[in-house]
Amino acid sequence: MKKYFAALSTTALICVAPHALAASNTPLKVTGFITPAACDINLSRGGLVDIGKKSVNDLHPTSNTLVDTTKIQLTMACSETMPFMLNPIDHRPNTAAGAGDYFGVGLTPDNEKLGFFDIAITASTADTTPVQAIGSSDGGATWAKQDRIKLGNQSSVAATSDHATRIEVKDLTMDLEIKTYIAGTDTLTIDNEIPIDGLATIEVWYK
Amino acid sequence: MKNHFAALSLTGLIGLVPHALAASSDELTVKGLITPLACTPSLSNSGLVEFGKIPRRDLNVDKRTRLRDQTLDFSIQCSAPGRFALLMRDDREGSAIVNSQIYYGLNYDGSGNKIGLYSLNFNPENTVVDDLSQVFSTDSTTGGAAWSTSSNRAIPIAARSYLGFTDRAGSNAGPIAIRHLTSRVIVETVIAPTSELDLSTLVQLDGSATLEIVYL
Repeated sequence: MKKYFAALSTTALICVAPHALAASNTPLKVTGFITPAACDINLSRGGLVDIGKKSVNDLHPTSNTLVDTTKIQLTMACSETMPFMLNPIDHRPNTAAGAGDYFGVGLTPDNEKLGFFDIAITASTADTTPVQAIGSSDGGATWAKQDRIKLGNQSSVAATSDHATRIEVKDLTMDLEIKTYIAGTDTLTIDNEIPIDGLATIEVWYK
Repeated sequence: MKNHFAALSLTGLIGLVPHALAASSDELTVKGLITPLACTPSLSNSGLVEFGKIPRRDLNVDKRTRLRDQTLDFSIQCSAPGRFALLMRDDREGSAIVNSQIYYGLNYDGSGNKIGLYSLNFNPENTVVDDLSQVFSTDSTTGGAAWSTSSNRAIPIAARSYLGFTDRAGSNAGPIAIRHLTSRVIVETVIAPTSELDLSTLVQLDGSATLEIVYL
């Protein structure tokens, strides 16, 4: 009986108050598909930037000091042409000194932010064609020119003629430049050796 | 919403099935309220959570795999402060790999296997209501007759239990009148072990649900 009522009432409701019916609910859809395809991603030099030992004497007292620039190549090889985006994860979250889209290198024993590193993309090639690096801050809905791998954004590539349209790729190379900065020493307590301890992961999202 | 339906059904019932009504010697009472209150819920990205391609090799063979959590912005805008609750109806009912009113289905693969499940989680800590400094959630398994002790812990939205919000901690008084609510909700998605799926053809995640306002 209850169902009967409900069935009849729907008609009446639609006639009387279509706007109310449309407005009091909202859809949620969860989509995707499972595919045998996949991509392998690799960083040259084992993904390691070894800065060695830097003296406090060589650090700027009141502003950031660039202590190292290292070139690393990212390669991605997919089993078929795929839409992709690269998503960075900072395993030293909230330790970057300065802007929020840099990666942290850890804290001093006094919980000061030691510095940060930045990942620049200096050149990209997709399936033997030069392409440009782009980024999205909304999970891939919109894209703009972005020649860095930024925390909180995703990176992908587009034809050099159109930075707004992501292209699908089978094989990718990206030349990266990792720049590491140490914060001004007036913000740091350096009584003993302090490790520069950055760790980030770049993962592939297949969408 | 349920009461709303009942009030409108009277005319239809008399008009369409007079014999059924005449044959009954019982009294028929139809009650309800029409409210001028209108609340509009909305989800960012049009409520679409898109995982794109999911490589089979990234999924566990013998156990379930949890995909990365997805967040959506959620808001409710009401025409005036009103008491309401939320629930979510599963348009793929029965296809979740765990049978619970907080788990929603992703439909079936080509051989009729259940693909997985997802849940939609509200966190009062991520929720802003009007000018309140803090928000607490409360739920009702009795259609709004009785309410759980309000708290600030995250709670998944259910298909039958009402979810409401209040400005009081530890209260059983149910939801307060709210005009604007904004929150970030988290979609947690789990895929069945691939050994239990037919991967010989394309397996499409196809979850679909409807988040609804219930006027109290």
